[in-house]
Amino acid sequence: MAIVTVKALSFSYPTANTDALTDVSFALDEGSLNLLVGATGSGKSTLLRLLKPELAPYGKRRGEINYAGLSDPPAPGEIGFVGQDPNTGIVTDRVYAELAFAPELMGLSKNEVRLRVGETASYFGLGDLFERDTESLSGGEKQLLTLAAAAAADPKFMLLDEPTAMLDPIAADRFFETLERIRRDFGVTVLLAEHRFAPVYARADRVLALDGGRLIATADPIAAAKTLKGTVLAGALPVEARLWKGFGCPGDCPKDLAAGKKLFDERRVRDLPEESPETEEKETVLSAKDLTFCYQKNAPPAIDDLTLDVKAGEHLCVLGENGAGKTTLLLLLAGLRPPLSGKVRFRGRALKDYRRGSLYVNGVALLPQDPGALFLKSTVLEDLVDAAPGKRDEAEKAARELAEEYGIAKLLGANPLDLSGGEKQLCGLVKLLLRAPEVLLLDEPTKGLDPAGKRLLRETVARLTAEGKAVVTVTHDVEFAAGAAQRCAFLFRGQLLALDAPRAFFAKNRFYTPAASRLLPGALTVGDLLAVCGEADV
Amino acid sequence: METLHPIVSFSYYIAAIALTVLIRNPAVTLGALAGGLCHWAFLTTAKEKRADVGFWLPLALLVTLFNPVFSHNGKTPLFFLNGNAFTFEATVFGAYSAVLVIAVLVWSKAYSRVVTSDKFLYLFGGALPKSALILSVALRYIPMLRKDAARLKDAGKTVGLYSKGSLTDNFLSSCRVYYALIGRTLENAVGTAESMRARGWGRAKRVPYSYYRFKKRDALVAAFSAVLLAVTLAASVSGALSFSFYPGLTAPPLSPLAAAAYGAFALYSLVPLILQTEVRLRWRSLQSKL
Repeated sequence: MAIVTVKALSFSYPTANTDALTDVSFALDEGSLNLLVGATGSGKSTLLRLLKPELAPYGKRRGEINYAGLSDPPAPGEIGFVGQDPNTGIVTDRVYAELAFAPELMGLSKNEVRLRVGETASYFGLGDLFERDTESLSGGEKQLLTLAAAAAADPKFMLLDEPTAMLDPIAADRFFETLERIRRDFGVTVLLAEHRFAPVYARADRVLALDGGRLIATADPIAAAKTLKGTVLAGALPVEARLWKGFGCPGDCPKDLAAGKKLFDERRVRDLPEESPETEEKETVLSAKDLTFCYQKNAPPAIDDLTLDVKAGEHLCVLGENGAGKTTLLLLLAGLRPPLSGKVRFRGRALKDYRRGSLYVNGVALLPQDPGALFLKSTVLEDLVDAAPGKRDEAEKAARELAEEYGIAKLLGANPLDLSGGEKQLCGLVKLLLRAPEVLLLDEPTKGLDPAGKRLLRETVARLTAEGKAVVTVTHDVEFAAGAAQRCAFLFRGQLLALDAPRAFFAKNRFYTPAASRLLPGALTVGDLLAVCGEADV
Repeated sequence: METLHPIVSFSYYIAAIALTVLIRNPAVTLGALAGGLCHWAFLTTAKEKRADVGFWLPLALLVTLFNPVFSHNGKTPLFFLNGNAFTFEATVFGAYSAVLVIAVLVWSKAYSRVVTSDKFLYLFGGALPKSALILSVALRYIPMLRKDAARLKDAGKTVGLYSKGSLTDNFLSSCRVYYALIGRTLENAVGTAESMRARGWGRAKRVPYSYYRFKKRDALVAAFSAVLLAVTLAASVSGALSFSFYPGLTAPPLSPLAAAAYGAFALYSLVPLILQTEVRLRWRSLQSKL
């Protein structure tokens, strides 16, 4: 039975000339897992919000949305909503208060509220965190809490808008598993919008793909892969589907990794070529020696006796789980925190010997995890001009030229707060580049990016390294590191455990490996897999 | 004390502090101090104890000497200072005041350890349910703002803020950071509001959640304390406890009522110790049975 039926839904925002959604029709079966995919700006969020009456955006709307088995109009608790950023999703200061928020408003008795909160905490394994401050939770715990807080109202239908965008892959998997569990146990219908959808793709009952506000596919994953293969979303498909696409789509798309492996083994004609060792000796620009750092006296070190050389023109990726010390490492490398012991040198000179601010002109630049933090003015242009050295008109000229070069000229007049995640990042990068850095430090740059944004990031990094700049990326995105880095390192509890060229690095790893290496050990990308089958990458 | 229902523990501490302050009788004040110290001893760590004592002792000395230096009442001069009498009675009153101040500090410390902000909110959130929730939302924002300000400051440093090292530059840079912080916070608040609306805020009457339950033990402690309190108050109101310091020290006669009140108040201030001992004994007997 369909729980939601959408008929010929169109929507336009009051200030926009074009429709955000055009003629969208679909029905979702009760208890099904539905995956909503689409590039940034394709209308995913608009559609999700229209399905939740309390969050429906203001604008012109045509068409129908009908719910079966819900009250009319649906009560807030019947449709659960989990957004992208758990920091805005969490409202109160304590875990129990957050869990109690929805039950308190459902007209239950005092004892029923107490029971519902206790039950929810037990089911989601939040008993240990019950009295904790919400701000002291990790990102993964926070997002599980928002899911539990929505589930506490006993919803029939759950809407999730990129819920794992801020999470590392392990926390994301745990989130998806919990979501799957409440769907299975309680028959909750799920509509999940995701950019990084490969982990849930095969599990979905139905895939809905939006492109420019139009629904281009509503089908099971295998059939939907046929439609998606021609779009930019193909880059986010699971590895077996991308492989199948590389082979020119013979028959049906393989339904899982095992089927993909069969397809691959049939076509494989040669071994991976030997990795040519780096012969050219590159100059070291930034080096850390015996670096140690603690946030608190007597706390375990966030960075523990770490030594690292960064060479000009290389892209170094530091992998590690959340809390491994990745962000701290970048703060130290950028001279924003003084090390407890050890030294960081830029061009042979210790960072503390650079006069205030002089390190950040022709020196080191850091793109923070939230690139929005780089913007302090009300338009992008003002912010860029502010960062560029020289007089006002020179600065503006430099800013406009660089913006043109990086394709953000049309964003110059926008307010930085209104940019999408990908746009913010690109504008932030341009702002940093105006100060002509030699070393760029990137903190989780792939977070929340759609496939097109990721590709653009990879191209941008390649271009910067070709110009001789050193790029250090800390990330938990294994696929990005495998495809884009010249060297990879693994950070765990502040210690650097391995540092090598990608192929050698991932060959030694058991768990932190790209999906392609599960079909052929040593392969980093789908391109490597296709190469050994004699196919060109597409 | 920590496991009692908030209404019981809250009333207990308020009454203890009120009686200590209101009944002007050195025996009562000393009793309050002694009971309070017993309670304080098991609420604090050795390090905290050292810090507290290090603060209280000089304070007590100061308060004791302060009174006779400025007050010259009393009929027994000890010596003369600049032609003013330094009297025995004023010194005793100073010492009494010191004990009173320390006793109130000790009890307030215990209060703040036991009646946490959650419990306070639970008690008074009922009268003002919305304010209680708003406070919880506001408390959530404080650590977030602090973190975000640090992020903005770090990012700003790499793009030219705080670069000149002068006071004005630092000030102007901070202004810009806080200006941007306000914009980001307002943006964030929109998200918070949506999250509240999505879960039904403003639709129905709120039934505040609490995990405190009024147990039999709460009733027992409350009744026991109330009886002791009644005896002490009755004695105090009838004047059986009134002690005067000037012109000479005059203790009230030890009537049966006064004796009962001293006993009752001593017992009252020892309630935490009794509860603590009871729990310890229960544990010991439980462990011996295992």
